[in-house]
Amino acid sequence: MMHEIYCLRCPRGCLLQVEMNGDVLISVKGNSCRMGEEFAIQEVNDPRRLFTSLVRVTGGKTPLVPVVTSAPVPRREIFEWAKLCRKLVVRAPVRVEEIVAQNPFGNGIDLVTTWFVEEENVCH
Amino acid sequence: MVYDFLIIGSGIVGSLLGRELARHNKSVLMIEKHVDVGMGTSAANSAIVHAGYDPQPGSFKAKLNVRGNALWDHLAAELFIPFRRTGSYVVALSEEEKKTLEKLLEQGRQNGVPGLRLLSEEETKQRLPGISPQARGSLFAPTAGIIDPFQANFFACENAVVNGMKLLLETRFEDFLWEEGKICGVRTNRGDFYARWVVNAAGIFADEIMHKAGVHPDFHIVPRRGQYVVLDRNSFSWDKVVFPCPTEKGKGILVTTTIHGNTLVGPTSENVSDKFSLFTTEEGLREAIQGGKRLVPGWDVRWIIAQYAGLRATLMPTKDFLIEVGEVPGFINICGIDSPGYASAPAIAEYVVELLKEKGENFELKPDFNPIREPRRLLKHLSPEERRQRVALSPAYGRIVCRCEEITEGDILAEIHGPIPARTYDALKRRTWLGTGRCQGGFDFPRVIEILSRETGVAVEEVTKKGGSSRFVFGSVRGEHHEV
Amino acid sequence: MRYDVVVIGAGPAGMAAAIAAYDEGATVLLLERNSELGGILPQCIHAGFGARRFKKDLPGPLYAYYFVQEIEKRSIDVWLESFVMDISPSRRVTVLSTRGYEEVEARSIVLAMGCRERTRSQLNIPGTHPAGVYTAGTVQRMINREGWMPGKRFVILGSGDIGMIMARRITLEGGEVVRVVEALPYLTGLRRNYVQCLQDFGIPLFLSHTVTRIDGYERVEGVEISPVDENFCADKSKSEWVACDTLLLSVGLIPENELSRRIGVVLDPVIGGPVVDQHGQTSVYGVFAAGNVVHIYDLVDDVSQDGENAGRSAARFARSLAGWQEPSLSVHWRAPIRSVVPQRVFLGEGSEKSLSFFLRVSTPCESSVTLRLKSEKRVFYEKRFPYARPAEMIHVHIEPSPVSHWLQYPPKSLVWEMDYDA
Repeated sequence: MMHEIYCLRCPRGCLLQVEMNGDVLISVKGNSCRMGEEFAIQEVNDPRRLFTSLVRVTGGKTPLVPVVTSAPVPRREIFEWAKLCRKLVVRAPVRVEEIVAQNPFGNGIDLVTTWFVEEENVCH
Repeated sequence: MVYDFLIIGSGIVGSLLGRELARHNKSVLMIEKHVDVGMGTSAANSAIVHAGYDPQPGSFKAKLNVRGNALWDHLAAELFIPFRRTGSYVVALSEEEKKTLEKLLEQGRQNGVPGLRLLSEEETKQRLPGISPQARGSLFAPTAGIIDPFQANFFACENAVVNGMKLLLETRFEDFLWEEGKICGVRTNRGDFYARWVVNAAGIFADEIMHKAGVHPDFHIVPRRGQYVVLDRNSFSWDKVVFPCPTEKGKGILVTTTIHGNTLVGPTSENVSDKFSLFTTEEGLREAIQGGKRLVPGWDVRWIIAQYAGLRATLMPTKDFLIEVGEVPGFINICGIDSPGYASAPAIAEYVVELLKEKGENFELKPDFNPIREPRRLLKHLSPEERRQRVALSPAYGRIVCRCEEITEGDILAEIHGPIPARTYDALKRRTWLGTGRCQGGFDFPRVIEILSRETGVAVEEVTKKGGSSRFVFGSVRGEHHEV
Repeated sequence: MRYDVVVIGAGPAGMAAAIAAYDEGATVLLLERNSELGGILPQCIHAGFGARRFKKDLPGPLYAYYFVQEIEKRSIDVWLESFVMDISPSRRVTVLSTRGYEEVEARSIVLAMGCRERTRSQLNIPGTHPAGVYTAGTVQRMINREGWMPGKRFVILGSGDIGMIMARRITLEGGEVVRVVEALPYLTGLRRNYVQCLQDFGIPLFLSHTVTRIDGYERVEGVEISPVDENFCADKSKSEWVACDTLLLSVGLIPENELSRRIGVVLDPVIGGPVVDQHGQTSVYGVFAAGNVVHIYDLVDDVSQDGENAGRSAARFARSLAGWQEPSLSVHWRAPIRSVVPQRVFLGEGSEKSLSFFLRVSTPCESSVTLRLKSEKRVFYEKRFPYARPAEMIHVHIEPSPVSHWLQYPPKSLVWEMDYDA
């Protein structure tokens, strides 16, 4: 079976023709470099993406903190991660690169903050 | 209570009349169906105070335009309305059209327009650098001027409110209340209100109200749409007010500067069947652009920063203003106010008061009437020293919200808490001109929504652009947990 | 108050400029109109930043945070919520903030205000003016920073990167993106964003289509979408009406030039940012510019580098002041090259080492192209590239710099040209 996919490894975005026989890779065409071949194998067998989203913060100057997965996650898991992000709540102050969910799906990947949220000024 | 006057509609006509009545010993209630004042025809026009050579001699338009034009200097000074007597030019683009100029000159003289003068081709081209090379001459009218139509309307209404007029927004006329063949009030979505006189100043809808009062069933307002484009003042500078020669369709597509220095091109003139046809069309915009370029060729469509459509309330078949007091007892009818409505509005107010006096209505000046509207000057219009003082007094003036127009949070708060509180984004926009620059609100409006929500105590989701269902936000992305 | 270098804007360009100027020995004031450092980056929560500089795939906030930390390590004065109202010819900067209305004296200035989005008004789409027409960056801020959902059912006009990235964000937040339409026959953003943001989520992309009307008086109720030919003429006979409550515009960025214009900086008529030389010097003595305020970069890494370059130059300028108005060469270019930055080459001191150019083409050239810089006598640079696309800037680095040669033998003309198969 032939798959047509764009390579994501660099901005050029080569259109790759990937020939598969079941799970077995037969050939990759259309790539301009070796990375294209590696990408094609990964993408056809187990496409992965870095996942980014927001997590709610209480008591902070801003209501949300942005987060990223510590490694690319399987593409089919993306909506699971999105669901998780809707449930999580963290308390300010939040530091950068703080783990807000440790290995939630048992594949060794954490959810990590990418910005900070200071505590809201409390009036006395 | 029974008011002396109840005015339906808060456009420029209603507002100036309201102010004129508030000047005297009269209690006045104004109802407006929209969320803010002046959202109809008064908000979408050419923003020109015409000189008065266009109307047929002897018509209401001729009389009231020339008189109204003369009243604007004093009015603008009292209310701090941005107004500039630029003078205007009607340009002939052929020898044939020069005859039209002579006709207009004669008409203008009959109407009593001061200072009209025919200019030669040479003088026209010298005074109007950038005018079409086809220009063969022009008619110069020194008394024409330009105005900020939003602010004029708004400030007139505000001054009336400060002097005791009661204003009810989001209050829609439903029907008249009658008593022994006399109109004694109106029924609205917010209940019944009683008045000795009810004034129809409903703009584009004035014919429907007039019909409900039982007069002139054979007269109808045929909305005439005008489409405009606005050019960025940074790309094109045109300091003049220039018309082509008029045709039966109207004054034609003009090229004019605005009080804010942008160039306005339009309007088209299209009869539309629907009073809600407030949208621009591809064909209409093309016609406006072509018409403008025919008169002033040297600009590019890439310099357009805004476009809009307005509806003129043309009364058929007379095409004249219709102003009557007491035709039906208790009813004052002001209908068919299309161009030159802005120029005429102060004179319409004056004329209605005269008619009322003839009907025996007693007018006494109110001793505490304050004709001066204290201006809320924007920070950007202050001197450096004044800016320093203003920020020291109120730090909100140190926070710029709209970057292109340099409008501060302090400027916005002053309007939200002003005599006619701004409740929507567009209300703030029309009062301060925020969001009208090159980014068209892209930077400012999340901040403005936040400020409106905080200051008026409504949820962010309830803040609207212009009332009704025009909300900006549909809830929060972390909805179920969101704290208020 | 007096500083060697005043940097206006604390996004990636401004932060890098402030750091570089400080490291060059200057006293530095960094002015920012927002309440935090980072410019637009804290709202760009997606990954894809820093590949060149950090060899990592970083989300925007993390990329910004590195620079925030570097600024905190140094005695750089930072004024937040501070808006520059004006700059005098003698480089007195007037700043409005809640503290008051202050004047700062600067020996040199770096303009780093970034860019803004093109809006509906520049597209001239007919129709009504309801709520619900937003630019992609505004929606990005509403969702990612304020936590507001600006609509439920979206049509996106333009295949720019921010629009595609927001299509994914909207989908992940439970919204629906029914169409992405692009008037051009090709994608204007990066292909990897097409794959990761649209294809992954099954969002349809319609090339050679545009929005020809907006409907709805209060809130957007729908849009008319029509196919267009190569001259952008719509074929209304094939129009389709699509119900939606939000129209999101992702139709390009333009340099923020209100302040540049006010102080009389000469602007490039095509890209809208200041005309600069290789040090970021503008036409106004002592005023430098860097990053997206000059022209729109594809990669933030290049923005930071440009900021460092301008910051260093501004610090050197502040130290010497003299010698900066030496003759400079104008650079020209021919189609299909659309823009070249820098547009001038300064022939003074400190210009010998290397020389970089950023070029952009106006039409896609998918087969190999040859890019060349030449004078009337000589070719100074020539290289083949596998392709040239409008969405991807071409970065050319010439080392050693030909400037020392030009000092001795000033060329009459300097032209960039490109051979390609039409």
